[in-house]
Amino acid sequence: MNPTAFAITVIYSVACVVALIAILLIWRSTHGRGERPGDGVDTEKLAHGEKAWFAIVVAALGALLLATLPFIPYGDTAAAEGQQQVSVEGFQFGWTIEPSTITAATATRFTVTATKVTHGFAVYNDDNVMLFQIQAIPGHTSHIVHTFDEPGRYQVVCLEFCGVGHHRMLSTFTVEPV
Amino acid sequence: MSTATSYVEPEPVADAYDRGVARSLTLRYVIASTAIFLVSGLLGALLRQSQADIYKIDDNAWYAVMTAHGLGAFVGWAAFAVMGFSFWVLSEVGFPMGSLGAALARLAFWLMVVGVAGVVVTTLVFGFGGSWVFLYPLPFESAGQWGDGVTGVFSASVLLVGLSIVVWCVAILVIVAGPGLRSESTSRVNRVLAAMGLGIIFRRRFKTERPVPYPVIPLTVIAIDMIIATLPLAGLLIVMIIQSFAPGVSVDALLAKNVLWWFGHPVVYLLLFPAVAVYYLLVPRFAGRKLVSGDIIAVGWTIAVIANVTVWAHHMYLDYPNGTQAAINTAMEPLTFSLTIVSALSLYSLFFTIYRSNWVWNAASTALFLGLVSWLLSGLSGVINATIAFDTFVHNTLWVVGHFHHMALMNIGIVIFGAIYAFLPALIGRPLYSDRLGLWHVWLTFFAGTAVSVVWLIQGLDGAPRRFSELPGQYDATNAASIPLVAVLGLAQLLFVWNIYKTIRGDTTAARRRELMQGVARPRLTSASLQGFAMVATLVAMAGLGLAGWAISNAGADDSQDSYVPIAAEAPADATPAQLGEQVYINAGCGSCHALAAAGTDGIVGPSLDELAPEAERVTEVVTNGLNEMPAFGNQLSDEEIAALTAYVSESAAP
Repeated sequence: MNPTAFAITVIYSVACVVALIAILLIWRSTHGRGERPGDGVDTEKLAHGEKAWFAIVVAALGALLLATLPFIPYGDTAAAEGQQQVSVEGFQFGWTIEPSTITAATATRFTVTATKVTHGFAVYNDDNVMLFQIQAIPGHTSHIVHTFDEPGRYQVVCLEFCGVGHHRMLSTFTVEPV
Repeated sequence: MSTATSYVEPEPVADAYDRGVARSLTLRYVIASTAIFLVSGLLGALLRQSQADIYKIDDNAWYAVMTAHGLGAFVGWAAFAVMGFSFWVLSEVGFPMGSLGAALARLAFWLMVVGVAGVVVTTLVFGFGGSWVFLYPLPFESAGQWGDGVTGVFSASVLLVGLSIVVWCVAILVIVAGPGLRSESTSRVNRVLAAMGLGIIFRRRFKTERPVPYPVIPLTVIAIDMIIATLPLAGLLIVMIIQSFAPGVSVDALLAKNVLWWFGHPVVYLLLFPAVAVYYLLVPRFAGRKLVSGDIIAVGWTIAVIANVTVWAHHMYLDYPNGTQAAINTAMEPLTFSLTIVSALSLYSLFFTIYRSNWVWNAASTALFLGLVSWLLSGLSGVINATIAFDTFVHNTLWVVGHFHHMALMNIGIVIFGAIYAFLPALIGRPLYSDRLGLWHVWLTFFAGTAVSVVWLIQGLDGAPRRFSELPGQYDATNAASIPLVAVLGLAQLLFVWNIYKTIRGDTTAARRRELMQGVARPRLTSASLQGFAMVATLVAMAGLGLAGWAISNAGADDSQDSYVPIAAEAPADATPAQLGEQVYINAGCGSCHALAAAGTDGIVGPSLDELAPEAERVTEVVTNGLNEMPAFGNQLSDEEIAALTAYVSESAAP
């Protein structure tokens, strides 16, 4: 499994379990035995608690922002010494990838664009695990740098809807040992 | 104020005539949107079963149905329905429609009906399959599936839908700036700002005789935002209409994408915010107390009115060809987070309004409660999407499809059902035919719909792409798992249709007649133990159905490893050039455009190699240098590979 997907699975599952426990407590609180549970609830106090909740939410979102910002992909993608250069162009419905053989353990800089419509350049390994993706936009070139650790065949899948042949827009390239 | 005082409904200031106008207009929106719901829901089921290879439809038919389903369900059903309920919500809290408001509401209705009809015709009849986001310039690059004229009519239809939204926004602003607020200011701007929530924060600057009713705030916020959001899209659509007969005209793809999402993000909240207004009105009613909220929620709404129109680029996190777009995208993450604050505060207020209240459990209130559950759970998956580091993986996978069905169907959709159960009796003056049938509908919809969404979330985390008419073999079993769940979801809607049909006819259930005539009260379905048992039983049933579908598909699968691009068998050492050529053919993706029976490919964009049966020299020439739409592969493939490919294609192409 892709490590990002694994992190999402863990974080989302834990958040859902906590949320469901809170929901069950609220659901249960509406079923009183005989007496009217609504009597004697200090709704003013609950309303006041919303300010604390506001602070908690802001703090949690701030923490998530700080924790994940280092992982945004917009870092340095300029050409550098020792990189392999691979140019990728999406067309309806296929990919030209030059060269189609890459060396492992060496930083590879993909220059990605498209001919007519926007495509999504996504690379999966041969176990169908997505490694990275970037949009291929006509009239613009994007760069993404990736280092392949494992030699082998890699699959290219289009991840932006581009018309009737979108799901067939597949290709491969080979990563050879150093 | 004492907390024990019972809740008092606000006194409507609208007279009986105005209430009647609001009633008939709301009813009109509800009936039309429900009809669209039934059609677009069926289209959705058609898509899913085709993906699961039960009855397969053609690729372009699939994408055209996908386009119709997306626009139909999202705008034609959900947005249209909550737009209609907004008028009734405002009427319920005492805001008269007035003659101008009513005229605008009628205009918005007809613009929407004609616009949706145009979308249906251009997609289902003329095969427009550009998806509901019709990402420019795809509508003009159809690979021979539809013509530019169809794109022109489609764009005009979407423009009508956009105009309907703008007219509705103006109608809402006219109504909230009217006499309903009993504002002390004569300035319309002052009144709108007061209704937007500032009347709660700055009571002296925005003086009103009555406190601003909470349901008015989200409606005012979205009415302001959708005008700002829709106008640039209208401009793009007009350019597209011109381009459909003047091909020289064009727009930069990246700019067009920014304009699209400038509209495409806020339109999501065109569904959510009016649904929040329904929550704000009905949850206190069923709980028998005021909304548990202070001034802070108005702060949340003030953030929302700005953030909602400044977060569009979070749909473009993976478009960053230059530093400017990357900077815009980065800024969108904290802005998007700030937009979630209003949801977090609303969920707090609504859940604590229910907490330990004398909550009435009926079909309508159950729908609202379950809607809140989905809002919370799908909101959390939305936060994942909003985080750039996570979006790098989930972008354009089925995770996103899971997220928005969870949000749009299981939150907004279920609120629409709840609002129908709650309001229909007042709208048509007849009691609901069967509350018990409504409960069954709501619970089954909730569990089946959630399960369907969860399957998509799982497939997405497994890397499955969205908008694939055909997914590769590794997703067969999970596709099959969702089929029984889709069936339950669809069948549950029959209960809804029957209930509404009988209600409109004014029928009474046998149990209700016995109750009325013999005074025998029917046991309620809503005790804690019964509800708890039903929840666990339904969970087990849904998991069982999903597992059954998964197991049936898995049992039929062979052991070979599936992948996007088939893995060719290892070529023997003495392989002929034609055997090596088959591997080149598959790995280079030739089959995505070309049909070749020997390789088992059936691409339709390029010519069929079986029909063409090209000579060897011709193959080498076209592969090396390209031809028309086909790019040159001379730099990508080695001379040996091209020679092998030539041998394979020229030998195996069978006319």
